[in-house]
Amino acid sequence: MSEAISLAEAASHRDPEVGLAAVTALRQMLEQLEALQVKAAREDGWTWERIADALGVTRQSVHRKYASRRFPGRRRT
Amino acid sequence: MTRRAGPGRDPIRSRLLAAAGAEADRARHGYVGCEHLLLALLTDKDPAAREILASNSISLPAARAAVADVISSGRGDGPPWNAADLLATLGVDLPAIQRQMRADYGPHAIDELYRSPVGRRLPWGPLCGPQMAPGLKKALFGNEGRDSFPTSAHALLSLTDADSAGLAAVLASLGSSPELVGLAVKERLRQAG
Repeated sequence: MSEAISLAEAASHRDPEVGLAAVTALRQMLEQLEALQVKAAREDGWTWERIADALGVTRQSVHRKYASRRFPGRRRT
Repeated sequence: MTRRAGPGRDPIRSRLLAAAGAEADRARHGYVGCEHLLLALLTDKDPAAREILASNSISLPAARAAVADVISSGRGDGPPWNAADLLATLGVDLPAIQRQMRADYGPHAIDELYRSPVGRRLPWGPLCGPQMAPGLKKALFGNEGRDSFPTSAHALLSLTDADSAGLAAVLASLGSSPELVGLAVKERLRQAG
């Protein structure tokens, strides 16, 4: 295990490989959290427009991203 | 029309995918790769691959230790760190977020996200578990003309053809190589007729 890399050590030296991988993980997590919340909002009867307003994006972009995923209670906006 | 192979049509593939994922989870690795597929073959109920590997002096405990060493040293097919550890470097407590999501949306909310309509096109990210490495996909789905692995030995042969640097490093640390294992599988299959 002598070659093993300590994550804490690498992070403390500001290793870009660690930093970029951490940002990638954060981005993936945000995508998944957003999907969870959008799904919950649709199940609660929110319109795409209201979801888009809450996310700070256009209705078209949120609709394009999620509407084809066959949500429960899907309806046209 | 060529029928596309898939895990749902092949019990061995389904078992191996599940077991490889479980091995990655167990070791808290950030991805599922060919290295984990080797471990899955060593735990599968079909003994064919396990026997071939044993004849090459490769056991489950030794292979697990080798996989852990290869991945932690950055020689695996994926990143050496898992999502929870990476996010901790940013001050983000992933297990706490996962606990909160389960509390808010049900105990299976996160596990089902990837399989749900909303998660269908999402990457296999931190909330849902380890990401599957391209090498593992190639090993499992590379032979589209064949629907199934008749035995785990056939799956092992496919794995040795996957061109995985991580697997090669694991086998090298166990005194073997994909080529040697592949030859052993072919010999066993030839003997079996």
